[in-house]
Amino acid sequence: MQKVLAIALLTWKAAFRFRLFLVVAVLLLGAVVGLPLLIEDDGTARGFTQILLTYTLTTITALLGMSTLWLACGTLARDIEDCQIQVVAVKPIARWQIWIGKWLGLISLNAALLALSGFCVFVLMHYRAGRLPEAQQAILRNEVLVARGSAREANVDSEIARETDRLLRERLDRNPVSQVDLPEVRRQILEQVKAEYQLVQPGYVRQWEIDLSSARRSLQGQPLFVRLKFNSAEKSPSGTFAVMMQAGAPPKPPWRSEPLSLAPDTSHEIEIPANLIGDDGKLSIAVLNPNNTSLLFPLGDGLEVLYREGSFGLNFARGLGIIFCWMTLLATIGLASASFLSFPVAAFFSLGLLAITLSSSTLANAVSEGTLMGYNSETGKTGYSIMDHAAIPVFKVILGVVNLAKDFSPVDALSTGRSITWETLLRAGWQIILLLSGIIGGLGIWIFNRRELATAQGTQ
Amino acid sequence: MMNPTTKKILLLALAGVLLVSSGFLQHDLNRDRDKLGLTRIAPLENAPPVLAFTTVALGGFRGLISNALWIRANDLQDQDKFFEMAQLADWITKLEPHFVQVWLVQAWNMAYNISVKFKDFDDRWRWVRKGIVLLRDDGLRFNPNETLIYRELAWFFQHKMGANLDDAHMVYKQQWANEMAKVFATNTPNVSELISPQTEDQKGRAQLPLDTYKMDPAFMKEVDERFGPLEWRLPEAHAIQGGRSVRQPPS
Repeated sequence: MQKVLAIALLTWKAAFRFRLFLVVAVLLLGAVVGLPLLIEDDGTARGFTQILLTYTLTTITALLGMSTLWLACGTLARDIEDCQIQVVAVKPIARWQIWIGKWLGLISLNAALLALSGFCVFVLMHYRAGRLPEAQQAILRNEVLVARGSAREANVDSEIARETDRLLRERLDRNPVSQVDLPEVRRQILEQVKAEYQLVQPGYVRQWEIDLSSARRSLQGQPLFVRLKFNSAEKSPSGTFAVMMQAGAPPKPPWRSEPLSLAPDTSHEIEIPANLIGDDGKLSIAVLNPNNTSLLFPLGDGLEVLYREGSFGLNFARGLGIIFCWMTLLATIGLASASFLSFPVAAFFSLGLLAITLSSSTLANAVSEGTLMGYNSETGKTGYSIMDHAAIPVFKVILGVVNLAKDFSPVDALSTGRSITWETLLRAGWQIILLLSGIIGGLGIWIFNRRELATAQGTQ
Repeated sequence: MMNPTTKKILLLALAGVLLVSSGFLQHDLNRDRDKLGLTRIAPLENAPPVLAFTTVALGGFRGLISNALWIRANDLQDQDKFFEMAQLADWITKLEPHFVQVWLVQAWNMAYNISVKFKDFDDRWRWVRKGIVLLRDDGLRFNPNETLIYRELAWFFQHKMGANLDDAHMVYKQQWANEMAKVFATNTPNVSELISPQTEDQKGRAQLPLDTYKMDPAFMKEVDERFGPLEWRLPEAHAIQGGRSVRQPPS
């Protein structure tokens, strides 16, 4: 371990010698302090937090990510090209220890820079929050600068699948046919069954039972927030639809909302009073549709209850933890590519991988459409290319790998006051550091072990 | 052989002289361009430093950047990230200050599309007001002769605030009346007292329409005499004024 730490210390010294630590620290602090001066919020709590957190944390991630890749590629590739690695490699230290030492040095450097800039964002945000009007500060305390857990209706996928199969069997028994596109028929029945759960017809009420028994005790006296989202097939002239809500169940008197004017396709948060959870730990919420058109509440996002789960400080730290996991992966990619490539090629290669990661939405789009040629919404036809047979499976694999790292959105969660749980952080650690970084790092160490370090280098 | 330090100082001095000369030359060039009708649009005047920098330094690349920002802004709007989207809209208008459609689309988006996404009527008013302010304070500042902007502004007052299409229209009317109450202290709005204020209170209030609401009291009086008397605390009066400006932009 001492040998590994010695290499890590040398990486730190190199970062200071090249003034990289200083430059990146100044850039990060400049971005954290300077950006909020350039960017104006609209004076509301949500606007203030979304703008400040999104811009500062995104800038920190981008700056730190680029410098990590650069340093990771440089610290190993340059050592090999300049033959300095030969001086180290002849010492009684294994190659893997050199590699791990450099990796530890890089990630500890990242941890220090991330902690420094994160602390500045945290202090700056609280300082600027103090300048908001009192009413907005209250919103900030209750809705934004908190870690809010979320509870949804129990999953009904299995019930829907059972009901779909029953209906399919019934119809096949009633109308036996020899040739039928069974998957398509099943899909159509499935949509019909799902619609029964999702649609609220005009003048009808849909009821949700949300199980909050695990958090019931801690929610005594705490207001809750209902997050609603619905779609509508028809457009309303005003752009909004009326919705009425009722929460709570007998014997307690229920709470009823005024008619709410809500826009479709948007999430709305509605505060409901404390102590409406029933003795069984369930919160009953009913939504009335008084419009002349049906409203569709999607099964997942249609309605959820948000409740205070913890403090913002700890949530913020967990968010930074996920960003740290990303930085660790970048450090691993940089070091692994520098294990077998020269500095410029390694940097280019790593940036290429990063570009693929960032364009994963394009890949996802191609996979969902099943073609590279795109879908023409005017003709309703999907394009076709012979390349699809090879590209789409490859895209699926790339997406599967990329999503292991991209499946987390700490900035979004923090700016909307959503809780980043310890479980999420552990999952990020497992998927990003242990699994992805482990495989890539293992590959890098293996290549570095087998590489002939004393061959004439291109720069000599 | 000249001493390197002396050479550097001389070169720096030369650079300084050339820079100052180009400044004078630029002034003459702009004047000649204007005189010869070579300028389609007037150079930006009184622009904030960020705007002046972006329009000059980025040159033709401004269009590309604003396109990219526009795509991003659309994505953000789909994701309900309105605050971030509004920031991008601000940058897009700064990159293309003379492109009228940019002002119109962004203002319409704020006043009509984004405002209704909020359930609280006060929040909606904030976005409607943002749309109006964007056109009135910035759009017209850089495009004072663009009739489409006056027309759009008039439409916002007449349709968004004046009509009963939006559930929150009464809040808009009330908020606007509150704002106008600061300009007209009495129950009967008197435009003449804003043109030639006598008391300290009147002098203070006379500055408000000019500084904050970009309304010229003399022009208001002209509109009032021709179409009025108008109740200036109602949005419709401002719609008429905006419509009148389409035909005859106030000087």
